[in-house]
Parts: sequence; C-alpha cells; structure tokens
Amino acid sequence: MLLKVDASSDVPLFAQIAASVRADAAAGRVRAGDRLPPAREVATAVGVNLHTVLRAYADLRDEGLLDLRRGRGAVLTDAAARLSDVRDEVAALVRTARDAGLSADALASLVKETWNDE
Amino acid sequence: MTNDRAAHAVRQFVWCAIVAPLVLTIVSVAVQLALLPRVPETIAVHWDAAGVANGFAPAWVQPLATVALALGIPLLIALTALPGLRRGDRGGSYRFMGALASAVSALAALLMTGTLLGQVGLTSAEDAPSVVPVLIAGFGAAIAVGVLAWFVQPAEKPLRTEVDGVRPLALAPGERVVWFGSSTIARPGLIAVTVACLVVSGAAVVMWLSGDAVAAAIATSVAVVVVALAVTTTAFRVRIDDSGLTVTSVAGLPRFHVPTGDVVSVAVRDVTPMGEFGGWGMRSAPGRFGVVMRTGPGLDIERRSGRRFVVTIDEDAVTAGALLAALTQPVGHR
Repeated sequence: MLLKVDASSDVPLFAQIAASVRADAAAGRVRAGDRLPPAREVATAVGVNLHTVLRAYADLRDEGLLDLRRGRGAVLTDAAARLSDVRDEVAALVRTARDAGLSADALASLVKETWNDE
Repeated sequence: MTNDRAAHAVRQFVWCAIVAPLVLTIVSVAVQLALLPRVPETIAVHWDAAGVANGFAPAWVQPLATVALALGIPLLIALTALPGLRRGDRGGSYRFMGALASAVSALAALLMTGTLLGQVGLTSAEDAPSVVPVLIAGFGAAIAVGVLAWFVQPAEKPLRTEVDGVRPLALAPGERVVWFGSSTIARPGLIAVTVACLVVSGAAVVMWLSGDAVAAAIATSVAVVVVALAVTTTAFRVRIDDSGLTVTSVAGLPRFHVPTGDVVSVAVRDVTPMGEFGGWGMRSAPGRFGVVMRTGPGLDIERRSGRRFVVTIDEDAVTAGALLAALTQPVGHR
C-alpha cells in the first residue's frame, strides 16, 4: 500500500491519508479483507502525529470503508470492491471529459454541482 | 539444446530421489518378507550405546518402517525440490537434496534389513546381536551412495533471472511517500507449519494429562520452540520510507533494516529461494542475505559493503522498488 502526503498542500494531513487509502482501495492495490498497518507505524513512517492517522482511520470507518476492531486492527470492508467499481467509471468519465476538452478542475466542479442536483 | 540439458538435471534428480529409493525399498522389503518366518515374532528394533538390544516390536513392523524411511523420506525430499527444478531452478542445493535422498534410503534399507537378518534363527529377540557392524556398514554404504548420487547429477548454476531496471517513482517536492507491504510464506507452507504447531501443542497437552512430568516438560519445551519459530519466521511486514527498508516479523522480532544511505542499487526480480539460498526463510548465502518467503517477485538491494539484501514481496514489488529507488537516489538527482 502506497501512502502519499504533501506537507505543502492545503488539504489537511488526515484527509490526505484517508484519500491515499481510498485511492489504493479504488486501484485494487489493497482489497476487502486486507489489514492496514497499525496507526502508530503509519504515523512514524509518514512523520505525522498519531492522532492524525487515527482521525483518518476514523473517517474511513465512518465512510464504511474500514472496520476497526480491537485486536484485529483496521481491516478493509467489502466497500473497497465497490470503490474499485466507482474508480472504473471515473476512468471512463475522465476519458470522455478529456475528449470534450475539459480540464481536471472543470470536471471536478461539474461533478460537485451535479452531486448537489442529484 | 538448452532444453535437453534442463531436463537432464530433473531426470537425474528423479533417478536419485525417487527411482533409486524405490528400487532399494522393494528389494529390501522383499528380502525382509522372505526372512519374516525365520525370525522371532517380536524382534529387537533398538539398541543401547553398548550394542545391547533394549527396544522391541512385532517383526512385521520392520518392512513397514522400511517403506516409511527408505521410501517415505526420499519422497518428501523430492516433494520440496521437484517443483523448483521443473520450473527451471538449478543449483547445488538440489544436487545435495538428490544425494541426501539416495543416502537416507540406502542407510534405512541396509539398517532395517541387516538388523532383521541378524535375528534369523533366534528364539528370543533379547539374543539379538550388536547393531554396531550393521550401523557401520549402513553409514558406509549411505556415504558411498550419496557421493555417487551427487556426481550423477549435473553441476548447473542457478538461472540468473531477468533483472528489471527499476524506474524510480517521481516524487513531488514536499511529498512524503511510504510503502507498506508484507512477505509471507506460501499457503501450503503456512498450512504445514500450522499443522506442526497444533501437533506439538497437542502432544504437550497429552503429556501433561498422562502425568509424566519429565516427558511433559520436554514436550512443552518442544512446543514452545516450534511455535516461537513459526510465529517469528513465517510472516514479515515490509515498510519503505525515508529511513530506508525495514522488514519486521509479525511477532516484532527479528527486524532487518537497510538504511537509505546504505543502498547502492535496487532491482526488482523473481527470486528463487531454493536455488539461490538453499531454502526458504531468513537465509544467508555467499555475498547475500535474504528474507525469502516464497518463489516470486522481490527486491534485490546492493549495499555499500557489496553484500546484497533480498526480500520477497507479496504485493506489487515494482511499486515498492520504484519508491526505494526514488528515496535512495543521491539528493542532487531528485
């Protein structure tokens, strides 16, 4: 599993970590049933506060992507598979958008607007 | 032409590890069966250091034990070595396994048959002659057979697998990237180890229940050692970050670390533990050390000292290697 955080980015660190896990799940690099490393290990390796990682894991749990259990750690749920499906559709969308000459930011705004309409 | 030579190593191994033991077993069992009517119903099967018989069993156990030892053990050896050989892996380890299989078979066949022969015409097993002459002959034959089997097999170097020049991951300035993965033994091995742990633990429990404190203590010590080994050497967590590569057993210890500054080059390639290291696990070989849990992709790292560190990776080794290469590039090149 690859975790990326950019200290210079405006996005909060915990959100970046959660996004990294989501991206890995969507790409199929981690699958339903896989266990994520312990929060302490992630914190040391990435160089962030333990609570930052715990916050990221908690958010993922609230989303339904992670199952946090005493003794078993953080395990990815079946939602990971659905995320992978969403990613495939996003890939197709990106190709269509590119053909139409849309930029990434333009597409993102369009997605946000449509989200509020649906 | 190369295909012919490749099959040659496999064929010769099969001769040594399967065919020869089979022949030895059949011959010795046939001889033993012919001798059975002429030995006591209960025969001597164990001798003390002075050569006096002190362990006895029904005579029909002898042929069965012969099959188990003279054929069973070589077959087990073949089971661990043949898959690699047939895949094209080569090396001294395989030759040794073939020689060992033949030698063990010869030893078992000779011991079992020789000790039975010595008890022909006896009325009581306690009169069984000393086992020492048979032992000497048996080991002598085993060594001779082993040496023969070694030279019957060709000397071939392990295949140097294609080394993928790893393209370092592109890192944006200010970006901190970490890779988490694992290195564990393959499922058949995992099952075998689990079964072994259950068996020794069960045996310890049985010993405690039987009330024999000494036996129970020994059985418990064995169980503790086996389980400790299983837990510490069969599954590892792999981490690649700013500090370098860290391989830690799931039990916490042992732990192996290659600092960033110690890495000269990183290669991603297929690792064949049997041919390169003589087996699976934490292994040392000339010029290299490996945490090699299974045959498959892994990282081959050259350290400043010239020694290599090899680790098999369960997940995407290419990504792991790319990150390590990116993190260990001289700063000016990043």
